[in-house]
Amino acid sequence: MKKGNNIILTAFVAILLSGCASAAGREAENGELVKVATINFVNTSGQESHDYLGGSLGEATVRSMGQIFVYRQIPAESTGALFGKLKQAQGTLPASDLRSAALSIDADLIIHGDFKVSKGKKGDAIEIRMQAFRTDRGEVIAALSRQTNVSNRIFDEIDKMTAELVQSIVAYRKQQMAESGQRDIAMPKGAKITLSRDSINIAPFIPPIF
Amino acid sequence: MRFRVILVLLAVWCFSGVAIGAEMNGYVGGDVYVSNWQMGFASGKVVNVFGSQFTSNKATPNLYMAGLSLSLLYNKTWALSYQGEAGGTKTDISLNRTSAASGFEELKSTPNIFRTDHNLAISRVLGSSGFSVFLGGKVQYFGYEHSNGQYTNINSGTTATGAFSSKTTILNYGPAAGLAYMFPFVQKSFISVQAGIVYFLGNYSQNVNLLIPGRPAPANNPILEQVEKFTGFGYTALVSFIKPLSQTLLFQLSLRGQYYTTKTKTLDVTSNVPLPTTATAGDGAMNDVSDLLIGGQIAVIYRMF
Repeated sequence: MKKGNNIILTAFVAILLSGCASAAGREAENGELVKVATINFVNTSGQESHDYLGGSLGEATVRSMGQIFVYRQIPAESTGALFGKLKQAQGTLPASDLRSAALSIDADLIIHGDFKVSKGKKGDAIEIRMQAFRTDRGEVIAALSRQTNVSNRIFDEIDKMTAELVQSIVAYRKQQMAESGQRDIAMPKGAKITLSRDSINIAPFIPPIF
Repeated sequence: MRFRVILVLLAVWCFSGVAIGAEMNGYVGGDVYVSNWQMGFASGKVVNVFGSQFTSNKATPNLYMAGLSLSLLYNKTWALSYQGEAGGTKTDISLNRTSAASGFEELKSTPNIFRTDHNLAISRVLGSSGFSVFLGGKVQYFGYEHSNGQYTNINSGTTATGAFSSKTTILNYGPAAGLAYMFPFVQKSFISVQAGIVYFLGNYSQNVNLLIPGRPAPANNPILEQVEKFTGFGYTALVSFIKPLSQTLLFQLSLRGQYYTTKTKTLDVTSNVPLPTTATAGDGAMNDVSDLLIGGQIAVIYRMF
């Protein structure tokens, strides 16, 4: 009788484990796609009239990422708390805090930044900083900072910057794949790159032994 | 019973993970572990057997074990891991009487030794520091099967030899805690260093059965049963080189060590023949002895999901 109970319990756990497996994979077609959280940029100048630029920078980043990569975007409603933390910390969080926050929303990669608007000789000047943070290693894999003027060309500038950041992520991915002996599959010109977890090499886990 | 507790823990873990949509990763691994074992039991100290004092040889056999591990990693932060190993060895163990009285002079055998270790741990990664802490429980079982023992008996100046059989079992169980640190090494490999402490409660049981032809019963078949309860405290350490062979397969090469000392708390002896003296806890086979295991391990770990 006890043996029978154990078999039933084992089967039950096996079903649960398979459920966990599919939960991890989520959508089968997305399998091991990297999950990216793009956070609205923090306005550190304290001038609320420029807050709209934070949203524009976030949207431009999502657009640039989408033009180059196939990946899984974490919905904006899940990133509100992290934006709040970054805002409170004036855009800069210690790596450990950023990693913990990223894990809580299940993000493999976080793209975030901040900007500061100040009065200049030729109108308002803006300093923008942005970075891509890899959660599993707790490290910044791409970073960019730029100064420009707030003019009617600001959105073009934002598009250029985000495109540049995305190219840095492309270069990082290429370097990671080369170091781990992986090779890209030949793809038609203009085709998007699948940003899979395999291509950024997940850190290993070993059980404690004592 | 213990198996069912483990299954229920796994079920609760999975439910909680699925319920909040957390990421779960599952790992299964296999390992081979070869070590030199300086046994606490048979470590050269004086013990009381059949009411006389004996000293044992220092047995240091090589121990061969194989095992498996199962881990569930939750949001890359929390992990529930089981690691179990079993194996055996064979070595000469002899007891030589230290007192001058007549009786058994020497007890000698080459037992088959079975040993199995089981660890269950919950670990937590500490941010991006590379450090993690773990808390767990450990169970160890040792079985010594002396089926071919030989004794030497000196009685009234006459020396005789004969056969005996004996079975010794040791069971330890208790909590463990430790710290691990992993950092990237050359060529996409990693180094992991782990250190832990373990405390346990243990039971030691020995049954010795001798055959002495030509004597009236029960002296022709003395049977001795000795039971000890003991506590132990020790340290464990591991240094691993880890190389991902692919995105789902890890190779692990480790140096491992385990050291602990034990102290007998109670000792009970029953015998079907009169004994010259009564054994006390201080004479226990597990009293004030050290067990040291140092060896190398090769493991392969597969990420299932």
